[in-house]
Amino acid sequence: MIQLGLLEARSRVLDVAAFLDRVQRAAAGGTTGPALRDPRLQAILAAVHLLGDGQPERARRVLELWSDPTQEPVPHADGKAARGMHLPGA
Amino acid sequence: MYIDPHVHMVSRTTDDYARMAQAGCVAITEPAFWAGFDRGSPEGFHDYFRQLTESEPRRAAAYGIRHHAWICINPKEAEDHALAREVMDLIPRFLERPNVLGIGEIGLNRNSRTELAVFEEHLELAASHDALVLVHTPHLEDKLKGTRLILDAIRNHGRLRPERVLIDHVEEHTVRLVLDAGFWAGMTLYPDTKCTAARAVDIIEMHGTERLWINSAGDWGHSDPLAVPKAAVTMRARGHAAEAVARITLENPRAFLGQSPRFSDAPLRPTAADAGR
Repeated sequence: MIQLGLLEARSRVLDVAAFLDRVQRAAAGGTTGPALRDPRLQAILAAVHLLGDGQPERARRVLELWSDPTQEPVPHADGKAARGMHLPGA
Repeated sequence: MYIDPHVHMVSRTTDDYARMAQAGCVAITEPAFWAGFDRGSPEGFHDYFRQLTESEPRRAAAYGIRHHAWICINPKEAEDHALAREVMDLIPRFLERPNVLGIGEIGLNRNSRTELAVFEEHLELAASHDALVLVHTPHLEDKLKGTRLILDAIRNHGRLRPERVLIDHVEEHTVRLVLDAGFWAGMTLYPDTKCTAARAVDIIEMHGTERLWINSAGDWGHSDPLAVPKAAVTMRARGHAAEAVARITLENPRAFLGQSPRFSDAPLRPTAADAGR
């Protein structure tokens, strides 16, 4: 099983690493503070942290980590597209 | 031989029909959905429903593929409640068309109150017509909450049997909720926002093959109308027997869809010309 998915997983981890580098480089000349404080990127980093906790069902737990935990319908649809992860107050 | 039980062929080229036929597709079902822009009138939906029930069956038949449809106003266009009600008034007459299996893809998109109200009105329409139901669940961070709201709404409605309802776009965090409640579950193989083939096979290995299918949801966005046969290759590479592959890609869709007498995956001789000519 490792052999079947190793290179693809390796490639995707590198993509995440390169994406974070890219964001940081792009924001280097900005005035808004460290780019990685963006709550969307914090949600990505929280998921990356979860991958190493040794517990099973990482995919389910990552999806739950990014999910809206509220239970009531919202008054109105805020656009058609979801953002990718739940960001309280966004 | 396989069935793609959720694909939006109005957004695909005729070449895609040809490739799907070459890959072994014998039948498809096409839910009514958001085609990338908001239709401004009931007449726009009327013409779309005609396309689903008149034109697409002919295009598919040209390649020996049996085409079936689901009719509804989808949740992405349901926020305008007045328009939604006007469109819903059109639905009963289309439910009588020979390729229509039921109501779909209804559900929620951003989990709003209006979306939920329109969803509940569709459930009543399905119950009153004894129609099968195909349910869209929201994407990304909205999926878990939306799936719970949908399951609660169906339970509260109380007149739809779970075995006649397919909850689509399940992922790792929602599949158990759906199956444990007795519904059928669909896994959608779609880049970025839904399941990859590898993850779909993971879900099969963790939760079994009962009441579970896979589909491409191929549409106008980044998507792959050959996702189902490609996932079958992934299953075989992971050591699954041919019987298990056939169950997921052919027998399970046949079992759910076959609850409608209008469904067929019997061999269809390709016709000479498609509807676009």
